[in-house]
Amino acid sequence: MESLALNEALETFKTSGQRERIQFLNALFDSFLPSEKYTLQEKLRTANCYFDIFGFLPVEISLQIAEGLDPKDIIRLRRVSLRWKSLLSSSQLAKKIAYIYYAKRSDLHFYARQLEEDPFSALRNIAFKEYSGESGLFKLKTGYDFSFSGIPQDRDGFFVALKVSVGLEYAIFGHSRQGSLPETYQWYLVDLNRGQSQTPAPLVNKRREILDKRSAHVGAHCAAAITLNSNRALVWNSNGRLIREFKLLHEGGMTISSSEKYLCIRNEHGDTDYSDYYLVNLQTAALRVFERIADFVKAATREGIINSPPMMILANRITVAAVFLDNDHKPQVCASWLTFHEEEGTLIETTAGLINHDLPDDLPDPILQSISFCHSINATGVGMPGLETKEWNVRLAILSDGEVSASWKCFDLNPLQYQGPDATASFYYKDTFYTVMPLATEEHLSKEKNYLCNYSLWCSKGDQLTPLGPGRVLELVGMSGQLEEIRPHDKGFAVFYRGGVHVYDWLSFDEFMDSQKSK
Amino acid sequence: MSQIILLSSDNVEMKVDKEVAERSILIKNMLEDVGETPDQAIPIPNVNEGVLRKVIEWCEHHRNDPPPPADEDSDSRKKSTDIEEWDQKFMQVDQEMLFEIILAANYLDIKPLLDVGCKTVANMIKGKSPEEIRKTFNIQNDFTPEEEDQIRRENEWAEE
Repeated sequence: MESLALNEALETFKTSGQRERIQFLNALFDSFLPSEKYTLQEKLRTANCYFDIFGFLPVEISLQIAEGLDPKDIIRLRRVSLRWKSLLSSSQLAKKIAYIYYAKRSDLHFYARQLEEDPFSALRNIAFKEYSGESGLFKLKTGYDFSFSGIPQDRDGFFVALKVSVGLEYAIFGHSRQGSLPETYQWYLVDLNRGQSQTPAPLVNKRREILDKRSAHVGAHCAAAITLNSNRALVWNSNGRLIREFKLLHEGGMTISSSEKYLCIRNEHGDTDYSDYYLVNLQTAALRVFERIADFVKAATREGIINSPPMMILANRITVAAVFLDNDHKPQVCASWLTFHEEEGTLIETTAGLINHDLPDDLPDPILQSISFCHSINATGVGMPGLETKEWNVRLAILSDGEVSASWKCFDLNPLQYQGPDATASFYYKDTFYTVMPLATEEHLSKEKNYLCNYSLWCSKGDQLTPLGPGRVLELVGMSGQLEEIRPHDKGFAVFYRGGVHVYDWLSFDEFMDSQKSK
Repeated sequence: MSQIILLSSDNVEMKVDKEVAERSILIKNMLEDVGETPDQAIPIPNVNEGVLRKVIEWCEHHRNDPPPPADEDSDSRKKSTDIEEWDQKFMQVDQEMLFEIILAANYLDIKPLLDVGCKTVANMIKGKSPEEIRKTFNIQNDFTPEEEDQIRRENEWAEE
């Protein structure tokens, strides 16, 4: 009888309107015993309200969805199920994601073959490199290591890296005695790609004039410097041969940059905002001087010199400029002036604008420029960080797509245990500013652990400077001298110290897996 | 304005402005082949009434949108998963309906709607752990313990 009544109730429910059905369901739910609620809950949980949309859709649509994921999502989510693993390991997807996300990596060509043969492994390898770069996993890369066996050593003297080219092709080293920074006429050029098997080339300086270490410039194809007292510019080729020397007309500041064919020196007119531009053709050694930026840019662009460096760094002001193509594909020179508070280092004022409108319309590509402050120009056209460190202050400026941003970092003695300007180094990698600092206590300097110095890696984002956490300690293997400079590149970084240079590479996925296995 | 009639898989007829229906490249091509506005209902055999109404709602809202760039597929820029506000609200449906909308957009060849559907699913997936994904989509872990252990070790760094 009861069962009949319930059946009738069910039939009535089926034919009722929406409102009545909801009222009935609410009343029914309120009358449930706890065990019945549990049964209902289990029923709902398994009742396909939620189901594997990604796995059930046609493959081409699932792959379209996956294109909206980043490489780490794709790698991580292969652990969901066999179906997800199969979809997310797709060669077509891996290849596409690799070329979308890593198009700007200078080492992408190293993976070109693997991207054809085993695209997912290639994607994972590149993603891991990025990850290890962000998290400080690295290994000492052998065969790219230099120490000064070829340079005649003085007693208690040592060699100091003065300048390194952006692509880590060459470095200039000077000689120093008893802690003083090198003020000497004799500098050496080291080919970093040749490692130990070389005699460093002395940079020819016939008049034996003292060279201004602040002016040292080395690019991938030449080196240059200004003499300290006579304001003469010396330009050397990559063998150390002097190819041109000339006197600069003004004693104001200068910036030097170079490309494969040209070297450019911008020389400020003392207190005024004007500058002269000296352009040396590295093949013919011909010299030209331009008094106006517009003339220089015209000549530079006409001849395909894509490294024009209209920039200036004063104590509390940075001026940068770049040539770029506007929306109408017309060339423009854009400049930005950033003024910092003298003591606090905070940004007081930013001014930006176009500084010329008289360039010809038919300038060749590529025009987009990138400016680096303290090193030479990187002509990749994708934006290059400018970095300057000065005692407790680090200034960083980034130019990308014609926009300029800058930040200024002051390190306090507390709580960062800052050890002085010679004991720290900073570098910039993938939107993050890294600082390497020595740890405060002696106990970390252990010879038993096969290293002599131990530095920790800190990372700065915005105004915050934070350690990268336990286990992220940078052990500079075999480093016997004091850390001078760290220079990043997208495959790793080079550490310059008094007595040599080591190039570190970010750990690869296979090396990481091997070390995990050995644990 | 001329109207056409669409017939859903469950035999429900719906009158729609021709311009709205032509957001579907499938229907647009069909109408072009016929040459004139047909009097009879156009059957949409793979799409039921509920889903077809949703699809028409989307087409109504986006009737004046410019056509998408032809070669967007070959674009090598990062795919943004940003979805405009109206579309976000439109996609706030249960998973079954979302699934059906994506399939319908694919069948009817409405690329922008398919994109919105794919982005919605991508946003549900992004940044989640495998365990969260299994819970969200009610997925059974069908790896053997050995297989899972292997893949877990390989993925450890990506799961931080």
